[in-house]
Amino acid sequence: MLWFERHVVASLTETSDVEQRSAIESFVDSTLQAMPEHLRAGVAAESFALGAWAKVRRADPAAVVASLRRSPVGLLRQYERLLGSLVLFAEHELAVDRTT
Amino acid sequence: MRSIDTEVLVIGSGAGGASTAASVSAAGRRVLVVEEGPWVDPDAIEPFSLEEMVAKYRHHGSSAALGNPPIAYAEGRCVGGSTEVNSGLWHRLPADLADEWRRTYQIDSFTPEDLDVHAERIEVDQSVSRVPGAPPRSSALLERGADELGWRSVEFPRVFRYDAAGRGTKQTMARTLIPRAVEAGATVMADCRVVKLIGGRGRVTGARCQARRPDGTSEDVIVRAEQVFVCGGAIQSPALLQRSGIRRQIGRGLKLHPTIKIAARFPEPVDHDGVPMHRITEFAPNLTIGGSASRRSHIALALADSGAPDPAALADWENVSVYYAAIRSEGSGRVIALPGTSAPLVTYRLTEADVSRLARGLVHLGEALLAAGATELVPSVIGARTVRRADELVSWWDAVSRTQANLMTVHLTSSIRMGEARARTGADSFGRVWGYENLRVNDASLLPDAPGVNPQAAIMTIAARNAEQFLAST
Repeated sequence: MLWFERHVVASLTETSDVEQRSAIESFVDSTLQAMPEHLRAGVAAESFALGAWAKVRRADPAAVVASLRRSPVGLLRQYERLLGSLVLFAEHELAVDRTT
Repeated sequence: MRSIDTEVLVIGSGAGGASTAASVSAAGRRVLVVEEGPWVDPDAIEPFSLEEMVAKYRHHGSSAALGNPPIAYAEGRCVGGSTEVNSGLWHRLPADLADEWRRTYQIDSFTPEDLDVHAERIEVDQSVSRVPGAPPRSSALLERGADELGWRSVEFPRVFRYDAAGRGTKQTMARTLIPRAVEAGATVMADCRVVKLIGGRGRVTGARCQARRPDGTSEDVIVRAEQVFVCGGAIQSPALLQRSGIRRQIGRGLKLHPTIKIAARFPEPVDHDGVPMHRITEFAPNLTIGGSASRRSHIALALADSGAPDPAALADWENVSVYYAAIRSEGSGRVIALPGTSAPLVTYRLTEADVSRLARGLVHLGEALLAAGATELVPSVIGARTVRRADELVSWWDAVSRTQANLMTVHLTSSIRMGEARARTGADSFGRVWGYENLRVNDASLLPDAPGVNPQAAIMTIAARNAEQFLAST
């Protein structure tokens, strides 16, 4: 997982449980690795570009993520949707695992 | 490099591959089934869970057909293929569709009567049945909504076997036809990816494979075979043929069922263990309304698809269930094997009529759910309003657009169409690839169009028919 992706995942993860946060990051990482190569390349390119932009602007990655959700550019919304869906799914599934 | 000889090589072990392997091995032919995914005990993993996504889905379920909009899709990747992860709903190919396909693509021996012979046999064999007793609440709600509106609805049978206590077990290929093929002498190689077919001059001689060892390393394997069946599904089968240099009418005309969803809140709790078996068929086959997997994680995703999820919306998630409207699309797509990559590029072009049909589907689904007693509807459309009354549904007509709708599908077909109309098909009436005497396709790729319903019944019926013709002709 790339630098910016790690920040995005961290900012989208709600639980403060360290073990669970680590499991969520691990799931997202393995899923990004398992993606079709051309899709992964596209996501990585966006991550590089957004990461560079955030560093130049010294922007908080969490604020960047929030702005992506409202972006008029479909590609940017899809980027946030992809990572957000993976985090959300893992967070709720892992919560189920803990209660059963 | 290891080398294996067999009489018949079957690539893929899903609905098409397992049906082929069971029929051909039962006739005494020496069969080797090669499956890219692992062999997972069907009882070991909870259905629709994160663990299942990782163990049984290709790409952990994160694939998409590129287009405007992109459409997320999922495929099984394990012994048993997508039958291990689907809902097990069973719907015979409608007679009017079979007739239409037979005429349009000039498919021999493809009358409804030809197909019913095989379908009836499979239905008995696979314990296709309706749920004993009353359906679960999530399913009954669909029936209730349809009844209130005077619409047709049907409880679909499923490939489920029920015990005396009424507990159902899905009859997946890993439980039924794969073990039967093995009993008849077939060998199954799991964790083995076919890189490309080998041979030439109108004849294949086998396949070059990469087998994954238990320690994570891999070894190259050459499988030599007299006959080859490619049964990897509508994405992987055309990709393999293209990687092997076979391209004529291969990978074109991909069809899928674009699906749009609603998270519906009810006054009382709804069950969340399975998938509703009722479907509203008032607008079928072009538009079908049904229910989805609705674990808490799926509900959270459906709510998030509205673009502005309310954290409080999940507080009483037990009262929420996810439903969908799926359309038969006028658009089509392509599967393109990319040099140097293992996954093909998949594209899909929705027409304006498709977008309009999705909007209509969303509104009809909303009508049915409100009629069933839903108090709040959240559609998978960014920026669309949450609806609580029927007169508010009209706003969804304009809300559903290419940029705002979040679409997905689990039914992919038609990338190597069958029939004698050579200009429009990649294989003959029984799946033999044009120009190759001993290479056949036998899976969802052959369906000339999307059937509008879960395609497992059509795939297994056509696969059994084609296997019978193969045995009679070779």
